[in-house]
Amino acid sequence: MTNVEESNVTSPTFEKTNKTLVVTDLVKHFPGGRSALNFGATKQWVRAVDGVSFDIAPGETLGLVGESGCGKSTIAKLILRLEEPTAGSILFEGQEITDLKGAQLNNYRRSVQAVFQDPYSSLSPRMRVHDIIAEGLRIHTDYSKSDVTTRVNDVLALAGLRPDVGRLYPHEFSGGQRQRIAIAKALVLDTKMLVLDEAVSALDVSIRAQIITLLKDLQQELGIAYLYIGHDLATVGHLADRVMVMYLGRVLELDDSVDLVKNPRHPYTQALFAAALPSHPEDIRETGEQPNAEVPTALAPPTGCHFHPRCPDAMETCSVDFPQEVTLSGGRRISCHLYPSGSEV
Amino acid sequence: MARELLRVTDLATHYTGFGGSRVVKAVDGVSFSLEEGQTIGVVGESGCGKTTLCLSLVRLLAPGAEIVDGSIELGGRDIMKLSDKQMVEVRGKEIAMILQDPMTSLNPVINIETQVGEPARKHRGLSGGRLRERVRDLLDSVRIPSPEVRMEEFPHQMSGGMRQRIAGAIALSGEPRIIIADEPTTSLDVTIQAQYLDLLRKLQKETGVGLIFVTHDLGIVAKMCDDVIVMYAGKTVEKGSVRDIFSKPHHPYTDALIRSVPKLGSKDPLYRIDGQPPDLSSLPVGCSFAPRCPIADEYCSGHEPPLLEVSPRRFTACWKAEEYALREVQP
Repeated sequence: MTNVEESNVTSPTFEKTNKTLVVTDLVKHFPGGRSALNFGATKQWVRAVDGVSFDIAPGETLGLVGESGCGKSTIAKLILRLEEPTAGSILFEGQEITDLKGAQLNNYRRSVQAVFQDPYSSLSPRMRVHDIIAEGLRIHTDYSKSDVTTRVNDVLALAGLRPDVGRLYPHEFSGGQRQRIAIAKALVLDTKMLVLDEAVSALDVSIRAQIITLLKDLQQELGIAYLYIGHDLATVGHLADRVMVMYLGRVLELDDSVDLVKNPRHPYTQALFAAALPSHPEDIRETGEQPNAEVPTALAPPTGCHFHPRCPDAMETCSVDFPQEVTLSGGRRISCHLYPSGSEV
Repeated sequence: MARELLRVTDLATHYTGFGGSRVVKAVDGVSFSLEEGQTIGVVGESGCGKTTLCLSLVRLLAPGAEIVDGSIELGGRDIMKLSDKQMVEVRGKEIAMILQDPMTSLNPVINIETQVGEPARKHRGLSGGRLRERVRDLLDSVRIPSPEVRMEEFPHQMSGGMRQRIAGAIALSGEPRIIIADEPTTSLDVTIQAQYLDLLRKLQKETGVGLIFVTHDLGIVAKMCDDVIVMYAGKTVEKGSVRDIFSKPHHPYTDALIRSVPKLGSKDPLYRIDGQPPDLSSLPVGCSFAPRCPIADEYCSGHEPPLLEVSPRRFTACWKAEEYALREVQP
């Protein structure tokens, strides 16, 4: 028997922690649902992110999984300050970044970089690779020309590319090499954290393994924190130390990636893992019928626990109250009425 | 033995460009047969020729591409010899295709009823109330909720998963004997993907349709297919039953593909093949995989390996297949 304690994740941690990133009660609502029909009516809000808390330590990878529309990419944008949060706090190395402006914001952007899914659209086709990578240095440092070249060559080497590729254009590269260029670009400043939004999904199988290995090696060498956002559970589980499962703007479960895969507790996590493809024909599990597989819209999420209309274990209370998050012994965070606060597992 | 639906023999499709000075051998000598109720997977990385293979089977190749060799027999009839007009009767009625992207493969200005009903009207002569009923049944069979309402709607009113199921309903509408699915679930969420694959399997059980699954995802092959063809640089490198090939691949490329996919719950370092697939317009001499192959020697880079039957119904194109098959496999 293990004890269940009510967690205290919602209280803001103001004291300096050794975490790279501490996100507390992050909320982002987008105005939406305005149309000719309800023009002038009460404005509706898309609750893209609705009270999300998590942290990432230096050298750690947090994996973020969930179906389309669960708010994963919004979280990435909020951390990158490409969107302004509605409420909540994001502490980067102990400093609140949600209200940074001007030079301070620029400074923050030196430390946090992103690598996106599609290396065909994320690199400017009209710039040479050298200039693409050097752009950050030009904006953020006063390096001399030779210092810039040295640094660019260093990061090209880190990403497994030869220095002479710098004079080429992105179209001269394959997808895997382009993703290496995007990674080199993200590392050129004093990067402390990388947001990897589906960074290997668009790549071919053999190339994907190369990039995953590269990301792991770089992290070990440089001690960077990663936020890896993905929909492929096997890849996320492989890359991440801990995995956070989101559904319609809320965190449903979070734990060490090995434990979570071995023993998913939330019915939604269980459904996700049951739907994952087998790696061998003998591993085929019966996925069972999922009577209602459509994700409801975040514009009008279901009452209570957002997952209850699709949940095989839904009880009466599930459609009324959103479950309080609890932290089980072993550190697993879960929001589900099957694990009520103060009860025992 | 189930009835044979399709037999492809030594198919070669080449693209010619720059006034014939450059030839891209996208498909180069591929053979397989498909039986009733059987599912064949065609797996390989981008540029290995898998999509060109599909388009060849329905003769929908882009200008510049041409089937230069081989035969495609559909129920005993060589479709290479059919006129374009006769091909119109084949597509949708005998072979249907589900394309990769349901966002672009549906017509945005035609309602669902007309799109789903078209093959049934054209190929099966249904009209009026019977056609409407057929469309409703089709939408019902692909689990579109309240089909009567949905059939009047347009593609933009549907979610990605629903659109993909509608593309499936269109493929089924002409009651074809073969469905080719080209990466049908790449744009879908995992839960929707699992549901769609289960649905295809159920429909296959009911109708006995033969499925050809073209994918880069080995998980889909493991889940769905009976047999698999592994393609590399336009050629078949390994072919056989999914169970045999996943248990012990005899070609180093197949082995590398399987081992480079992360497995759920495993933190073991991934197997990594360096380099990338070759340019199809300037293939290396000898085995195309030799430059990336961990066991290749000089002979491999000078001589092209033939596709040989190494054990019953199991084919490998590798000079070292026998030696490789005897290696110790870590569990």
